Amino acid sequence: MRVLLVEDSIRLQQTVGTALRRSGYAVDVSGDGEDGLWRAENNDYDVIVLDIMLPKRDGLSLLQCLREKGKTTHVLLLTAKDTVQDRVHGLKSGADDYLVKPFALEELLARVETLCRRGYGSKQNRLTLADLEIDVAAKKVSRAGQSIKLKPREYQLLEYLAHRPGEVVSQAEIEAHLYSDDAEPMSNVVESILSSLRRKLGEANPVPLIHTRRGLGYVMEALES
Amino acid sequence: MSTIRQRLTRRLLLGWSLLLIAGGMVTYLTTRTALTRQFDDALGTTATALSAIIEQDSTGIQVDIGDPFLRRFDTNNGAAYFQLWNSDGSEVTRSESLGNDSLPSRHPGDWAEFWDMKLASGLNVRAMAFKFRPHPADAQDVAASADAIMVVATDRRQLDKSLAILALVLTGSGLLVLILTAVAVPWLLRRELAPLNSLAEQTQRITAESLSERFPLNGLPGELTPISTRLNDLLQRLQTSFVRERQFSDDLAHEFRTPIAELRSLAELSLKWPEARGADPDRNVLEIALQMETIIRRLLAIARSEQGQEAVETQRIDLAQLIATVCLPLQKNAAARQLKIQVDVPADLTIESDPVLLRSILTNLLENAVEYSATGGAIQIHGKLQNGDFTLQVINPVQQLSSEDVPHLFERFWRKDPARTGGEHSGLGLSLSRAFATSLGYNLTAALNSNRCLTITLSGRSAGGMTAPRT
Repeated sequence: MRVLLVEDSIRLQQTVGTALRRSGYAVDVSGDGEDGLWRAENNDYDVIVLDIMLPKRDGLSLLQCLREKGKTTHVLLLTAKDTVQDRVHGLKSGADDYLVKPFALEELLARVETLCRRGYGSKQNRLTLADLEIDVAAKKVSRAGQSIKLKPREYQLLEYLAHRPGEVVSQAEIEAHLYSDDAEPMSNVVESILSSLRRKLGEANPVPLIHTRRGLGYVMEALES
Repeated sequence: MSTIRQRLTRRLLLGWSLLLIAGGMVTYLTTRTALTRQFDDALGTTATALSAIIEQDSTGIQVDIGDPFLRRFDTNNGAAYFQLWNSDGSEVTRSESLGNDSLPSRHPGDWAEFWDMKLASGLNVRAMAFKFRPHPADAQDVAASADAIMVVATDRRQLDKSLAILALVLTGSGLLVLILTAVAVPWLLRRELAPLNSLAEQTQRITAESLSERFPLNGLPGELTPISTRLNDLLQRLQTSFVRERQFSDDLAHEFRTPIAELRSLAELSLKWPEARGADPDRNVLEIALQMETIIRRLLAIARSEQGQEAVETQRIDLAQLIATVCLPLQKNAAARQLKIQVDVPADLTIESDPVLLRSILTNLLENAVEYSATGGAIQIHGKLQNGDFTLQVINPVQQLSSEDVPHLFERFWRKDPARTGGEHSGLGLSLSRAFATSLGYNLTAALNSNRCLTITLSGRSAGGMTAPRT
């Protein structure tokens, strides 16, 4: 899952950015409205965490501009403005959620996660495919009743694919969702993660769940034997 | 609670009722007097005519029984009565219409006397008594002629009936007018006082959220126009004040919410992922604490100054020397931004002031000048003394400031950057400087010219500024 954090406070950029990364998100950070808008327009984020009072362009203007251009990325407004009018105005401008500073990191993470799930049309904390179960909240995976330990990148890739079962996902899409702009993944890194993921899933049940569509990408589905 | 309309209705109805009653009574009494006088005139004519057929001869007073005029005094007619007495009080004759009844004997003077009375039969009559001298029957009776007294009365039922009808008409029409008035007055008052009601209703609807509304001035009665105009002025001031207060609250909230959010997220991050602690979290915490402490200290200082509680202790200060001291630590930043600081203050310019507060003002003004001047520009400091008043100006070019910003420069928390990015500035410096200047009895003003040069002017008396005991 890829998140854009648009916040002008350097300290909040560091703390919130770290918390999001630690929770398994690929995070891009922007310090002003113009840069934030550019990033939001040119990348496919799952969630944008957006401050309202920003230099160069305020958050609400950024949001309206984004919506006018047809971008439906889920937006969580993060701001010091706390009156009912402010909240209503923020939500009417196209925001999906609103969090007032100061906030609990846990709450921020929970809201970001909910918005991510909503992005894939799911309200469940649990994703299931054949005998594979993913607890999105606890970030735990099990197959055929057997718990599987995954590295963060492996888990992120599995969850991303599991959110789109039966859908062919290109390598570029995977990279865009797994890595922030700062990261420059090597060309075979996705294949490498996939290989490791397949091996770990295969240890619990040899029936493959992730399939390669040559020249197109990857698809996760339980094929009829 | 009674309204003006209710009070006016009550009073108008009461006043109008009293006027109607008084008018009706006057009309009735005037008409009654006129009718009675007319009745009396007719009675007098009858009496005169009657007296004309009464003669005096040697045997006494004689009434010509055969005269047709006396027919109206017949029993059958019963509408007119008379009774005649000699001057000694002995009755001479009476009309047949009296029957067994009698009229009272009176002794009128030279003028006839009129009165109402009731006959023994119960009939109300109008009576007239007069004294006259019957004309002699022939010439030799002239000597024997003596006064006679006659009382003539006529049935007054017709008069009473007319007066009763008049009273009825007056009462009826009075009541009708009263009913119509009771309907018309409230309607009329409601219609004419509608602007007042509208003003009252609109005033009642005023809340903190509707301060942008204004009272309409078109079509208002002259008495209400100044009220509405004044209320509109008041609303404008209130709205400005509310906006300023709200802005202050918003800014205050932002100034505190953001550092608190930073503190909280720092702490929570360290607790949740201890290994993810940044390089120097404690230094961050200290910086945040100091930032909040500065805001609180400045807010308290402004509050103290505005309440006149700021301690002021004056002494003679060499202004040029003080400016040099303030400029010294700023030189490094000024050089980094390629700014020149040009001081034009006479060496002998001294003023009596509080060195602590004055230094704080100058430090803030010069720090701002160094911070916000366009790179490569010049900061000019001019000082002069004239007629016991000193003026100190800090002039510097600014890029981002517009003339609309100048009135806001001294507002608490005002910052050109609406995002309020960065914690090193809180927008309290100029506000605090003005509060200190006011404590010292000085003026602190700002002006922006067309070349985008900002001039901040500090001016006041060079000696004997405002002093207050240390508290």
